[in-house]
Amino acid sequence: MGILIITESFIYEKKGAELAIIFNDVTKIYDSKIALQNFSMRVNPGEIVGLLGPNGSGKTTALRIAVGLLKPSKGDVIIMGHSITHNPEEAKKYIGYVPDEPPLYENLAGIEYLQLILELWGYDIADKMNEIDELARILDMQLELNDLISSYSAGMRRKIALMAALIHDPKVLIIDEITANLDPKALASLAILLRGLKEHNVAILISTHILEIAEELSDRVVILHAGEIIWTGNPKEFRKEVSESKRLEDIFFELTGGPEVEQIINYLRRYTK
Amino acid sequence: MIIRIILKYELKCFINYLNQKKSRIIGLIIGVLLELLFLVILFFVIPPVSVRNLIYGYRSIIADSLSTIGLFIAFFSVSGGASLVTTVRRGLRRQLEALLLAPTNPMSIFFVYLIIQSLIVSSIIIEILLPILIWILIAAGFSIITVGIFSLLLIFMIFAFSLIGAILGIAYIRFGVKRRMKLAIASMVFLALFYFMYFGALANNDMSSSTITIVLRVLASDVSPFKWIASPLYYELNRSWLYVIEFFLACGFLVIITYIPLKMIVNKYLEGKLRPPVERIEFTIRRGIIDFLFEQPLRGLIRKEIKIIKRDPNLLVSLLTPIIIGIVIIAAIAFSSQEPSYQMGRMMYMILLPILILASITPMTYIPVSVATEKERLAIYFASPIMIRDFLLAKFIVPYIFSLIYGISISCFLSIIIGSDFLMLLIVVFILVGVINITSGIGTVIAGKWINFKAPNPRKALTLEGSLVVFVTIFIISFIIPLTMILMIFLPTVIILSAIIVFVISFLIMLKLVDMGAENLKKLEITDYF
Repeated sequence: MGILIITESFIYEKKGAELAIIFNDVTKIYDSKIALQNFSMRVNPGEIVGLLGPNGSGKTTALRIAVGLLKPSKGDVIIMGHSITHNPEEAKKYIGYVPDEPPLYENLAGIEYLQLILELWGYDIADKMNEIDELARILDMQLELNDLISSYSAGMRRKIALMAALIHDPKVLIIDEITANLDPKALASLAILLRGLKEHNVAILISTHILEIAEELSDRVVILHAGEIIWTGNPKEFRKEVSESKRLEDIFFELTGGPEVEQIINYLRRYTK
Repeated sequence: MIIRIILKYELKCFINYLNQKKSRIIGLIIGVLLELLFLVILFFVIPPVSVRNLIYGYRSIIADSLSTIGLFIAFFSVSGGASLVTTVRRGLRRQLEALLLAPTNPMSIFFVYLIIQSLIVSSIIIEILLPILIWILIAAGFSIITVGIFSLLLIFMIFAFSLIGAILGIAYIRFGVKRRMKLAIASMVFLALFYFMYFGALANNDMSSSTITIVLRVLASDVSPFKWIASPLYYELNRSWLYVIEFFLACGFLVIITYIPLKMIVNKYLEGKLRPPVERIEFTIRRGIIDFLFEQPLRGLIRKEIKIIKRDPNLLVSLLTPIIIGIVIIAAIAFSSQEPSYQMGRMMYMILLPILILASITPMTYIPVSVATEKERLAIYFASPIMIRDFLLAKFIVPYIFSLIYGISISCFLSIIIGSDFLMLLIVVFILVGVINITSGIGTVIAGKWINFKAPNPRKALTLEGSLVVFVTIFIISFIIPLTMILMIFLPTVIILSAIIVFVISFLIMLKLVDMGAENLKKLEITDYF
């Protein structure tokens, strides 16, 4: 008779089958520096969650752990019911990830890079040509797809990374620094696209510095500071409940500290001398 | 002024780099001690004066030979300067752009920056070759002043040519993939011609010998800048005004070859003409042999590997160079005017054996470099649903198949040359495949365990342990193949049985080693390579 060992992550895997992303008490320590501490959060299918926080607050660390690029020092992340640490190949099938600085092959053309990504996810590019074409039109990339990536601008690199994340139909979309290098048109297209994906039950986790973007796009916002969650909630509902004039920016500054106005004034004095 | 600032910060960067790891400081101390030991042995244990009587009579021959040595030093300096700039070009470009924001003459910034690159390249020549040259010249009885002036001129030449190399490296950045590949192929053709001539001359090929003689005569003639470099030595031998003029010609030549390319590169850089052209590819979906042989995702990974090799001159050159050298040496000897003889057969054996060894170690040296070039792009694979073993397998398969084809072809040729029978050939092939299996497996372990992904030059990304493993493996392999051939004569049955066992077991060892490499690679986190 075999002995049944039920681990914590197994229980979460079973529980998390209906949830898209579960951060279960995740801690990440680099050498002796704590980057993320007891981070627990859930994202439902069809929900957009915005991760906010000042530089070095642990946003990118949290996202990198969720996609398997970093190993948690403690805890686990469950993606569509699969543990990213114990069953990474299965969990990653569902993820589309856009890093803030996409690593790309300079000597491949955009279309060849997409072919590589599709093949990694087990697709044949021949079956996806129409989707590539549509995405290229949305992101204004039709003319550049056959160019080598070495000639791409920072914005184009970001767009090809977005296409790569979307082309294999992810159930979970994770975007680090959503606004990075995107022009207003691309950003507006992306916002419409994300809302559409949300309607189709895709769970979306974004990180940003731009509070208006987070407020506009997210169903829920999580504010991180020094690796810990310090506030979470729906900014629109919060405004209705507390004060119509209170914006997300005010909450953010209250919690993490606002601009150093006095020091700025002091610095500017030298120009009046 | 700008020299002082840039040098100060370069020095700070170097000190910070050393301080990051104790092993780096220890390495530097060991390096300095070894250099001192080398100098002490060279100048005090075997003082130059002790052999003066032996070589004093050859003073003019020594002076003549310096023009040829000068050509080789120039060639080394140019290639060193170019490879330094091209392999770390992204960092260099960023640093240059940051410095160009400063309110200083861009020409001086370029100059100082390129001087630093030249210093790095020339340090190897100055540390090792220059002391030996000085030792020979003092031993030959040249005065200290003459040797001093010649050394200064030589150092200036090394600087000038490595600067040209660095400038060529910067210009290389603006080339598109197709042009870079053409340049790489042209370099390989040049190398092939060089080897053809050299081995043709060794095999008494009249055409090659006469060509080499003509080249040597031109190099040592009065119109050759490489002879001008040696003018202080000629002046001591024969106090003629011609050599004084040649000395100034040498100085003028070095100034001109430094200034003109520098001026050109600065202008082109500032005009924005050093950007690579936009290159477009014809994308078609084709089904090839890869689609029949491999499943997804291995199929996609191998397809990508082949595309990258075809467009990356560095990877292509490192894969093709052993083949080209092998074919050219065989061709040079085959086309020689002499009739094949027993001696010739022995010579071919001696030449082909190292090529065979080279073929067997190519995957071991290629796989880690290929993995190291991925750097931050490893994130693509770590974020995808593939097994890291597949990623490593794709890196392994291309050089592995390549080495098998190459090694087996050379073995067949070797077997014909030495007139061995089919059984002997079969044994050599069995042993060779066994060796390639194991070395390829070791290559994947090194790639997974002993690579510093943050090293600016992927070719030098191997850690100390990795380099040691490569060194020890090459050392062992260098004995296995020839030893097998010798033992085959005395203990044929034992060798036949061992070859079969090695052949079978090596496949299992290879797969185990690939698994080990993948297990190690899996442990990486993005902070290790980004």
